[in-house]
Amino acid sequence: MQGFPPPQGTRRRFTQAGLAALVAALLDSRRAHAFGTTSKVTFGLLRTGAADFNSRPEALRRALWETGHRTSIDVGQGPKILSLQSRDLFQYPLLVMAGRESFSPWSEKERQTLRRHLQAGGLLYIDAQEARCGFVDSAAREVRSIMNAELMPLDADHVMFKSFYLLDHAYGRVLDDTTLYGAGDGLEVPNIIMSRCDVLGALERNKLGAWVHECVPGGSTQRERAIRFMVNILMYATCTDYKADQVHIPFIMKKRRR
Amino acid sequence: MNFHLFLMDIIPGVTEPSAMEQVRQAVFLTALPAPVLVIAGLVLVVALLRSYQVMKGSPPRRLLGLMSLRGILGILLMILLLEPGLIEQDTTREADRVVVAVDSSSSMKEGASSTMRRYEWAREVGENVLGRVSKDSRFVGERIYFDEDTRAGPQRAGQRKPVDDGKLGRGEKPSSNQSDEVSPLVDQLAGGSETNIASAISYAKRAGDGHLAGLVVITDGNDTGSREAAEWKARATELNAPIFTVLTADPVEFKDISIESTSVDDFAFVRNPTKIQVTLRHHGFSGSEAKLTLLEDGKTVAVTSVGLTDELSTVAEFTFEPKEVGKHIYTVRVPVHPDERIEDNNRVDFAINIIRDRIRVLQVAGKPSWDERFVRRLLKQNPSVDLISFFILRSRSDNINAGPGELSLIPFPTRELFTEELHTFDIVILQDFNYRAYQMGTYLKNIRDFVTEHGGGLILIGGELSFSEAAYANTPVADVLPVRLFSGPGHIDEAPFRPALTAAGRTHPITQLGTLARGDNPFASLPKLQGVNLVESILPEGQVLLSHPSLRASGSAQPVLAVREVGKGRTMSVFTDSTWRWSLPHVGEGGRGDVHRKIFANGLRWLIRDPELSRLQLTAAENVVVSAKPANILVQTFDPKYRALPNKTVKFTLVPLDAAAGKARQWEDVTGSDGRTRLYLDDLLPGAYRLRAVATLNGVTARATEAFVISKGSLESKHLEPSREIADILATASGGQVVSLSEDPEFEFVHHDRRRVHHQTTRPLWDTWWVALLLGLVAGLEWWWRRRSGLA
Repeated sequence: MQGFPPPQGTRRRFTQAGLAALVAALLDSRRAHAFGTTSKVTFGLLRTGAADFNSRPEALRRALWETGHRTSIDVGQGPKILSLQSRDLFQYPLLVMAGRESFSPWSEKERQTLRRHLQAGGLLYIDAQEARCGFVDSAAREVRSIMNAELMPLDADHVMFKSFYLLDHAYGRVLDDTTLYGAGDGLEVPNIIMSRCDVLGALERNKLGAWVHECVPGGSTQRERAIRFMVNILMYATCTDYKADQVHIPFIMKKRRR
Repeated sequence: MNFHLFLMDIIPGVTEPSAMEQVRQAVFLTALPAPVLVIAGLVLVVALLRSYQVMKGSPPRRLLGLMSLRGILGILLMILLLEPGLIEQDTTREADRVVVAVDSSSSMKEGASSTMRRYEWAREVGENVLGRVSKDSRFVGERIYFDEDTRAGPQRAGQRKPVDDGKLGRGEKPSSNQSDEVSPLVDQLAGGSETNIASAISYAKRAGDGHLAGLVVITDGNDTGSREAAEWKARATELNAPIFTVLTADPVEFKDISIESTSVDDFAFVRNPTKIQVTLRHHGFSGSEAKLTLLEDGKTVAVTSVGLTDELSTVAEFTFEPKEVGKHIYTVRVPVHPDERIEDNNRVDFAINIIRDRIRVLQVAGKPSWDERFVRRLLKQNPSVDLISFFILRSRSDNINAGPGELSLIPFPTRELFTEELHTFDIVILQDFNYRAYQMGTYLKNIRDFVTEHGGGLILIGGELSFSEAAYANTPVADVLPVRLFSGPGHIDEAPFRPALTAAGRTHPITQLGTLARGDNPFASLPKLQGVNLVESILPEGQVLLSHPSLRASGSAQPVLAVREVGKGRTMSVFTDSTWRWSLPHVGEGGRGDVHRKIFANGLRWLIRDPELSRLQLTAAENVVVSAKPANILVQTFDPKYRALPNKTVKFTLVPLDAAAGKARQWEDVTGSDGRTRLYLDDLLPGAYRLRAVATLNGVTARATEAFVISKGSLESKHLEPSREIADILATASGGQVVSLSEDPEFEFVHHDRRRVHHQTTRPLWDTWWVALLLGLVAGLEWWWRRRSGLA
């Protein structure tokens, strides 16, 4: 039976990360004064209707932990699982839907709810676990119905690839399709973004802190890129197209030329 | 047709204009068209040549005789075709018009000599020219008067009192040039506000019977129009008569510098370089330097110098950056030289409305957050906002796990932003921002001065990195806040709450939600906020618009949204980082989610003192009012929904911006049932004024200002220098002449020698018996000689 390959350097990295987190928590006293939970940045994970909507249960928590320790974003607890009928749906500006399996068409009321969420300033991130799968088709169908637009590829210099880390494309567990797709509000500031390389798969850990899935073909380097890509998504969710402001362009161009 | 091949005077000579003269003209009376006559002539010539060819070998005597007879025969035939005749006319000679145009503009009140004003002298010269013209029967003289327009008599349109310049020089005491005293009659006659020489030329061309023999313009040459040389040339050519200009003053002896015009739009953008071009007219100061000063509301904002050359005008340019929005009075001044003839024209006042192209907002956020996302989003979506954002994306304790080259982070340019560039913004937003982490303590004074000295707006938004948590207490920024802060951290309350609208908030422009409002406290129906920065107390200068429902600050309700006017600027404090919940979460509860956007949009407009937000408004009918007229100001009062608010007492203060214009004066007035009243401010000395108004409208103090200029006089009265520039062009183009005071010219008017025909008789000269006899004799003689010679 072919199982998952063993995590690389897991124990040492775990220990290092834990110590770093402890030191950071001690040094950074600002986190001792949280300003209420509603202001903290976190995800709302959408029930799509497919059974595998939460097949990477630890990945989003890990994404928040990494973001909280790499950036000044004040992150909240793990994701809140929401349906499109949830009362709390509009408390979560950043919604995530993920999976591989196709799901049934949503009701018109559900589509209307999500449309209102996005129009009022919300953001939807869609993480497909494979480049071609039922989930991609189902998600594209719903985006088409909600936004009356197709998901379109985003350019390599899109703000998503420079909102914090400088990246050249999307990174995840696999790299079959590293294109990032967007829809709504113009492609400069899309309010729906979709990757097809299982980003959450790259961040999924087990209870013991070991990486669950190997990143192919790039291994740990690819995983680090996937983490960075996830940080960029959270940074885009909070700062929108801040890094596309004119003041940043000369600096970023200079760094990219190096 | 009368085919005139020649025209001649049979009886020349000059007689009295009314005497009848008989004129005879010999003409051809044929009705045949010219081509037919030409063809007939050619046929005769060809026939003669042909007969010569045939007779070429004949003896010379016979050849000469026959060819002569045939030539005479041909001529007689042509006479028959042309039908010569004689026209006899009884005519009278027409006199041509000589028009004498007298300049009656106000610059003609100036002295022409030690005893006479320019107008008096012009009147005398005009009389002299007309006297000479009247002695020449070929011409008839007309006198016209011109200033802003042209007319046959001295009476100006709108002048009720009869004007008679015939009294000049006949009992009327002449003006003295030794003093500024001008005789009442000259003052009345030479009162035109402009000099329009072009209108005199047009008038002379179209008015009156008969041809124009010449136009005599008696003027100081000081045309107030702005026509190019080519246009003057065209007008002179079209007149088809010589133009003689008599200059009533000598340009060489006149010394003056004047501000002829300024070139600037009536609006400019705040904090943007603005150019003002000033055209100086100068006589007698070539080689010297003129120092020009630009004042804004009486305070110097720019100085420039220009060298004066032999040219009559020089252009100077000011570049300055208006600092404050609103209507401002600008003054350009040139120092008065002791030798200058006129002092009033060394200054010009005008109004410029300083506006924003867009509201320049600097948003500095201490960390990425939902509140920061939604504030940036609403600012970016506001088309009137030009947004510059700086967000702190990482702190020193963050473990980025990457080299600097792998990050998109840029240095936070604190020095540039808070020293060099700060004045370029209208509003600064410090959103959950801890200044201490960036060694910005030294720049907080700049932020305070940006508000108090430069009229900027400041928004401080709460959070765990703001207000007392970031130790803003006892800093320069605290000096402009509406509250007193605790001096140490730990003053936050995390409990969810719904803020209450205060009494001040019910009428304040920031908390006017318009159609979004429901009930007395529309904020009660919005999603709960979470977390509030606590303050020690509210300052008397502060105004709390939204307060916490339960928490207290030194006896008053804990503020959630408060504002303050301080110095020239305004500040707005939001003591929470959760107002974003009035957008997306409100939509989730069935609302429109617009309150967040509306509060901030109102806040921006209030912070920049958007005049449209004022419920008391002043509007001047004219920015520059001629001193003879009153300044007309419309006053309007509005209620919180911007409907007319009637019967409100308004207190006014009129502040002269020039020391020379006297002291400030105060009074009160009451608006009418339509919420309006008009002020007519007369008896104001020339100068710039700012009118301030204040009224209490529905318990709220409303203020408004307006600015205007009382101008000393028209352009005409400021440009009195004589000029021969236009006169020279007119003379050259029309074949005329320019003469000065000292000359005694003889004008060469053009005499067209036109006659009027009273009776005409036509006598044919060809249909007589002797023409027929001569034709028969010549033809018979030629036939006889030819037959005798044996020719066919």
